[in-house]
Amino acid sequence: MTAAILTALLSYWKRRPAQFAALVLGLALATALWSGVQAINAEARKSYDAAADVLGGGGLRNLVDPKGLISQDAFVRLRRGGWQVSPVVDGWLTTAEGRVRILGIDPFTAPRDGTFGAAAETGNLAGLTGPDAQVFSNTQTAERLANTGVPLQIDDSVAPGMAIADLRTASRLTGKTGYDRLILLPDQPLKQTPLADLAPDLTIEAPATADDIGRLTDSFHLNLTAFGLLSFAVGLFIVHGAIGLAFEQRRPMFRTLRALGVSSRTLVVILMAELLLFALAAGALGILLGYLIAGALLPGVAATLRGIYGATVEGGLTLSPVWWLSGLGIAVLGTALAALSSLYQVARMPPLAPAKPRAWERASQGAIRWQTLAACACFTLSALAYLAGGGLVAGFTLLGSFLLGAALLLPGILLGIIRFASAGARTAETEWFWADTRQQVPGLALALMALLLALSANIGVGTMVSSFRDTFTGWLDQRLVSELYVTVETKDQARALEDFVTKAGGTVLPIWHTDGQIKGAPAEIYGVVDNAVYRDNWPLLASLPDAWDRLAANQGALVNEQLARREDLTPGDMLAMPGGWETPIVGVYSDYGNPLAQVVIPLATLTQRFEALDQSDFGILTDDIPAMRRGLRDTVGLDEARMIDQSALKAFSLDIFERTFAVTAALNVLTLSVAGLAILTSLLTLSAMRLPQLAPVWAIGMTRKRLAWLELIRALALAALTFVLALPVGLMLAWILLAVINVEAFGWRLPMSLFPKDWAWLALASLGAATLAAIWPARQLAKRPPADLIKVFSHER
Amino acid sequence: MLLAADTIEKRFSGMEKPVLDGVSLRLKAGETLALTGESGSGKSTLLHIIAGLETFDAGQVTIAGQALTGMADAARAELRLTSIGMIFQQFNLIPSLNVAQNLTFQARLAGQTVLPEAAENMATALGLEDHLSKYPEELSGGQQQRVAIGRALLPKPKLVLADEPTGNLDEATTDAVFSLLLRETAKANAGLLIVTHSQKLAAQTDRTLHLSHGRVAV
Repeated sequence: MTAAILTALLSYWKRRPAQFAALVLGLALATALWSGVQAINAEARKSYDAAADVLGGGGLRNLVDPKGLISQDAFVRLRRGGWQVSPVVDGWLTTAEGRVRILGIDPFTAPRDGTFGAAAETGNLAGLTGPDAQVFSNTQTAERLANTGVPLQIDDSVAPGMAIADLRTASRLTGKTGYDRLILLPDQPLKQTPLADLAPDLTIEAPATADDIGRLTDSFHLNLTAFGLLSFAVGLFIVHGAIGLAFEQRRPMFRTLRALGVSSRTLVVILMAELLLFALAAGALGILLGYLIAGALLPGVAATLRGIYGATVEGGLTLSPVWWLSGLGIAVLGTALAALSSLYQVARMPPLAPAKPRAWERASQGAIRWQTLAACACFTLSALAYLAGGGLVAGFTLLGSFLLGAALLLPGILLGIIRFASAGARTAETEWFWADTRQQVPGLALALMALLLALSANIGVGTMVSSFRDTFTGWLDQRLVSELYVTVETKDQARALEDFVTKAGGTVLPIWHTDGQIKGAPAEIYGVVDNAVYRDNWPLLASLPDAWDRLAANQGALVNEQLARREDLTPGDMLAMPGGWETPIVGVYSDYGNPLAQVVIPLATLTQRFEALDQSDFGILTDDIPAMRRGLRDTVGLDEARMIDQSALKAFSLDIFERTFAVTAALNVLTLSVAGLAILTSLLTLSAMRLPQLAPVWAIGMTRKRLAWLELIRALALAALTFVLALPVGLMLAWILLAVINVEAFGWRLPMSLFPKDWAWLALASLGAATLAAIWPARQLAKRPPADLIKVFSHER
Repeated sequence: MLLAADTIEKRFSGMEKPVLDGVSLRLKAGETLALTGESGSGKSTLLHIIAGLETFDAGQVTIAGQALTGMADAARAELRLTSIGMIFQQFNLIPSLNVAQNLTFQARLAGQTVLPEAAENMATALGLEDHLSKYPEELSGGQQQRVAIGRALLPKPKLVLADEPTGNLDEATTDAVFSLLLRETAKANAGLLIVTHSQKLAAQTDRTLHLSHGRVAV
């Protein structure tokens, strides 16, 4: 019996391939975009874990000095006092090819649990130590170290972006004169001299986890996930529409089956089995597509993460069975969600329910009333999330519930607008056109909601990105005050540089910095000299009067917006600095694209207070850049690769910016394409139902060509109306992204600008998508043989 | 002559025998003609051909002096819009328009100005004056067919074509609707060609033409 019922049910799809395609494609696309984003996130997470394993010494605790580096004497005292510790030097090396994190270890005492890869194996002691000490890194990182002159050993088990060396080599490469931390090995003797007696300045620190990097990149991945979820929701709209329509059209079949003795329970179970079959097939297709999407987007994502977070993610894609299974799971879950209401209706359908399919529009009109109520509930939740404030979860709840509310409200608003337009209709044709359009709205509602979501996301994200780009470009113009930026290799070179530049009539602005912990989080501390270019150009968001004078007189520090927002700091507040001293905050500056806290203090204070400084970067003010470059090359001996002028640096920064949002743009296009497909599939599936509505009008005297034109115009009118409604929704979305999400995620707030030209392009794109989607069904109608239309009258006999 | 159909032949692809095999008929203005015959005899096809909805293989159809042969799709549509009133078994009203809008739909579509009195008079004559703001789904079958008759007659067509107009109605409603159709057609002096299975209804028309296997039965 089951086979017979299933055959009967499946026969429906055989006769309606377009509807079947809509169902499978909708589900496959929904799964693909979701799985693709998940694959990217998983790949990134894997890289963070690998890095955290190394940084944290394989999950072991560390001894650190909150004030700075640990001396060799302290290490020796601890070893003699029975402490099983292993020293680590941890710093950055900047090469022309990019930055590499250098980790110096002591191969004799380092844990041999695979944390440091082959470098720490006993057999490699000769390689890691001795006069020709090798540096271990993976293949990609080795390319960045190729020109440093250090002997390299490829070890692909080393985390991306990292190199492992012995302590001496690491100290030489990073310029450090002490240890950053001592790893506490797992096997400690029972009797030890207390830490307070041996090294009272040291404290025990919990192991680094993937969260340290993850925390920085969480917002980025959350954004990706939100996009994946949005695309998934848009895809589900298609699935819901296709399933709902199929269930409506099969009502006569359900009634016959029930009349023949099939129980409601059996029918529902078999329908579920049918859907499970489709979900698995479409899910498998979706996973395949998702893999391709992830493969295509991953290099861009990796560039983004490296560009703005300094987090290294491998460009290759390796996927686990868990990913495949979760992809199938989400496809099945999505189908279940999309089919829930239809299955419920079948379960409740009496055996003698009307055989004729209920008017789809009539049935849906009640649903639209419920939708409007649900939209109000969503807006209320959105308002509550905003009022509650705080945290990314509240931000995304605000964003998600607002978008969902807007989508749910769309059909009701469209019906209102159409009713208003039909009241002004003067001719019978326009009167019919609007009345008929009103009738089509419930059938097209899901596709239009999908379009609204896609358009709003495009407008919102587009406005955010363009606002960001505008602000960022202006900020770069102000912030990059020097005409030339150089990186020296040695202290001698630094001295030669200062001599030469001064003689050549230029000005040297050292860009020295050190890393440290401020308020428990990683921070960069920069030293600046007192120069008019800073006073004239640096954009301060808030400041005490004469902030630059106070800074020059060593009466305070400037902090970046991220730190100020995170710790709720304002000018005048005191800031605790690494090393146990305090300084008042005299100003807050914008610092877009930097995930870390940053503090600017006078250069003299920096050199006086901190030992481990990166003193290799300088800015140079000059009127003649080519002559200065030539002089630096010929006189100071600086390599061309170590000099970059202001315009090249701007171009480089903007390139990183564009690459950062290339992924977003790609997801935008994909979401809009899915929405276009939703309209196409809805129009195709509805076209069969349209014949009984159109045939009488044709019989009365309207040509098929005219009807087809009106169908096309209707699709365009609905798309245009949806676009108009998407505009305020998109702008609200942009405001939420700029004023709420960005502040929570990155710590900076951007001014919002409007870009009407972009909207015009998007309007054209949405009308184009609607035209593409409507042109085929309209053409089919124009070319439809009269016999098909006559059948409408004949069939009913 | 309002309508002249001469030796009409029609064969559907895949069918062995022609649906219409040399059928001819004539209809004058103000005259009523019933087309009867068993299912599949070709009466609806003949009606559709005369309405310009269906093409034919051979023969000639002339309506109010205009020959359908070689007439373009748009011209046939124009002819239907201005000169022909169509009434279907399933009423085929526009579900998204109310009764008043449905009544005046074809006339206005044809570019005619429908005076409110004319629409009201028609609604009163059809017994629909209390239902003008209702939608088709809120009406009974008989009421819906009255609207369809009004829609067909309001543009003052020269020819009314009715395909089983009472096929979906009970006996009492059938009598009422059919009387109304005859009365209003006569009032408009239009020719009425009606397809019906009912001998009782056919008997009320001026003439009857019986079709059998695609030919006029003698």
